[in-house]
Amino acid sequence: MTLTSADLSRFIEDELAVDAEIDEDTLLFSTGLIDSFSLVSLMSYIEDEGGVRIAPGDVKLENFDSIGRILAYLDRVTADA
Amino acid sequence: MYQATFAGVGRGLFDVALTHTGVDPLAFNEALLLAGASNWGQIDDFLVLEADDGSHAGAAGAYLSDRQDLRPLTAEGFEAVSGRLGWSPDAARAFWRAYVRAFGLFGDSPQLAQPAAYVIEYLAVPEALRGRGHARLLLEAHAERARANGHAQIAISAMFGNAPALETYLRCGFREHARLGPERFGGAFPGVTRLVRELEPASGGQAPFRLPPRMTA
Repeated sequence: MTLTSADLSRFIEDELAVDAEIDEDTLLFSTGLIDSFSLVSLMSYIEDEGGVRIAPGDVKLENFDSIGRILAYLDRVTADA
Repeated sequence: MYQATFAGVGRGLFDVALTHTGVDPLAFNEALLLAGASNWGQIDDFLVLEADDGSHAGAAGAYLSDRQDLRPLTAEGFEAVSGRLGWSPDAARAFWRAYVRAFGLFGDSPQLAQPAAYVIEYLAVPEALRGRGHARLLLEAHAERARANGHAQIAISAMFGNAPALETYLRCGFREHARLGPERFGGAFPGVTRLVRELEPASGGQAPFRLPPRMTA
C-alpha cells in the first residue's frame, strides 16, 4: 500500500487529537507540536501501512519532522529496495 | 551501572526493552560499554571507589549533555551493540521498538534536557555499603573533575521511587531543578527529579587538577 499525505495527516490527528492544522510542511516534532514520546506508534503505522522496514538510524528529524519529509523518505526507501 | 537504575525502581534502565531478546541486562550493559556505545558515560567517564581490600565500593559515570541525542543509547550506538551481541534483525527490532517507547523517537526531546552540561549518571553503591558516605565521595570526585574541566555546574537525576538517592543529592549541595512524571515518558519510565549544583570556583593560582579516569580511595 502507498501511504498518502491524507493517510498520515489522519493518523496523526486521530492518535493525538492535535488541534492545529497540519499540512505537508508543518514541522511536527522540532516545533514541539508533537512530543515524540507520544507518537512512537507512528513508526509501526508507517511500516505496516507503507510496507517498509525503518532502520533505527533513519529515525531522524530530517526524515520524520513533517508529512512531506516522511513521504520523501518512503520514496527513497522504496526506490532503494 | 545496572544497580544505579535498579535501586528504588526494581528494574534496570533497559530491562523492559530486553524482555524479548533473551539477553541478560548485565551482559547488555557490558556490551554497551565495550562497544563504546554508552551515551551516558563511556568506560573512562566512570569513577570507581575501591575499599582497602580492593573490592568495589561504588561507582558513578558522567557525560556531557551538549549533544544532540541525549538518550542513553543512540541509533548508531544501538547498531554497534546489536552487532556485538549478534542479534537477529527481529530481536534488534523488538528491542528498539520497546526502547524508543521509554526514551523517545529522537534524542532531543525536552524530557531529556539537563540543567547543566556536566551530568553525573549511573551512580551506585553496593547495598551492604550504603550509608557510609561513599556516594558523597563519588559526587565530590565528579565535582572536582567537572571543575577541573571548566564547568560551573553539575547535574544529576534521581528516579521517582528512589528517595534515598534524592535525599543524598540534596544533602550534597544539589537543588531540585525539575520533576518529570511518568506521563512525560509515555508511562514507560517511572519519572525523574532533575537536580543541579553550582560549583565553587577552583582556588586561584593553582594548575588545573585532572583526575585520572579511575579514582581509588
